[in-house]
Amino acid sequence: MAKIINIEEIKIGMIIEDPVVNNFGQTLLPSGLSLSPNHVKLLKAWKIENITIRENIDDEFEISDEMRGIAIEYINSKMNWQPRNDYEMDLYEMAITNYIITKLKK
Amino acid sequence: MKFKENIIEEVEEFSTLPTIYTTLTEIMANPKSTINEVSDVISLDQSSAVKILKTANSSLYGLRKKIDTISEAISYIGFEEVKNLVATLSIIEIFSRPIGRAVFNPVDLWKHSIAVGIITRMVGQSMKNVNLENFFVAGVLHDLGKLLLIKYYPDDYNDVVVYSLENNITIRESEMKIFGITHHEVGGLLAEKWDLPDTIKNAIVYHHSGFVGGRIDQLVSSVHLANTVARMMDIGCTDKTRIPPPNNAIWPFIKLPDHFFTNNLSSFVVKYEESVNLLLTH
Repeated sequence: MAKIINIEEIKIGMIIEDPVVNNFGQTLLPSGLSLSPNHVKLLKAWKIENITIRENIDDEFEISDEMRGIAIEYINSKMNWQPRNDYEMDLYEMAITNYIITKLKK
Repeated sequence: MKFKENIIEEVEEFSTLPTIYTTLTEIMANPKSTINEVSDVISLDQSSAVKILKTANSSLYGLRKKIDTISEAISYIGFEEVKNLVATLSIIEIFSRPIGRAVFNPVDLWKHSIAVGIITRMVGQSMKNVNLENFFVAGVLHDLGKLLLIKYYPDDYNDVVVYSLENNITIRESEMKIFGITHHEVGGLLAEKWDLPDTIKNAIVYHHSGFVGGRIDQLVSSVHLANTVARMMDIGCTDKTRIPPPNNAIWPFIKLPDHFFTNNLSSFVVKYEESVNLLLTH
């Protein structure tokens, strides 16, 4: 799934779906690239207004509380620790999302 | 400690890396060498050359330009990186045959390792003032010692896993108990024998802590973290032992952007699938 967004709506880490090219047909940013702050500067320098991004995989699915519960139970059973800070909370969330997506894909 | 002595002997007698790697090392040690000399050597080995080009063009490096020749690959991703990719391709080939009844399948371990390589590089990219050379390769090769142990001692390695599960201790502690040596040390010996660069050797020997000689190291701590992340994602699941927490001391040093993991999940999956197809198929 892809959607076109204005560069003001870009969030760091979004994935480019279609390569971004300048007026001379040169590729500025390839497909599959994860956007960094420097990429955004580059787009602004080239006055690119819109780009096509890949939609977050988890946006495509409805995640029910039940599914999330199963995922949490599974991830907890694999770890012998609990998240101690924001980074680890984020890592833990990512593992949960990844588990749900992998199950849904199957 | 019979195991330990035998293992050290296995490492000493283990095959050398193909001449292409040793030739490259020699050429690069000579300051007068040119890019052309290096690319000529690599181009002689067709299958390595093709894989290097595909890897250089993959989303892993995210280059804005299409790379058509080995000399271009060298100028865009660097001498060292290309040389160590050559080594990695040979090492994957050496350790790819499935092993009888073992719990571990080397392909699963390689999948895990490639995931670690990709995450290591992504973590490195998020840090400031970092030379990303060898980040991917160091991540991919971090479990070198484990590959050697499961190749020669598949059944005993099963015992290591079982012992670790039953006694609720880490794989490292269990290896020490049963073999008298850890996969970190074994990998370090093999890296030395193969004359791999120190950055990669450090990642192999110290990836359990992220610290080298009491000091935190950018590359090694990235491999350490990436190892935990790949295990949390169940990629190429290596064993059923419980995942230990990352070393708490690395966080203030690595300073990831907010929501780094959740924001990069899809990017990571794309890079992972691409790299596995590239590196694990003939």
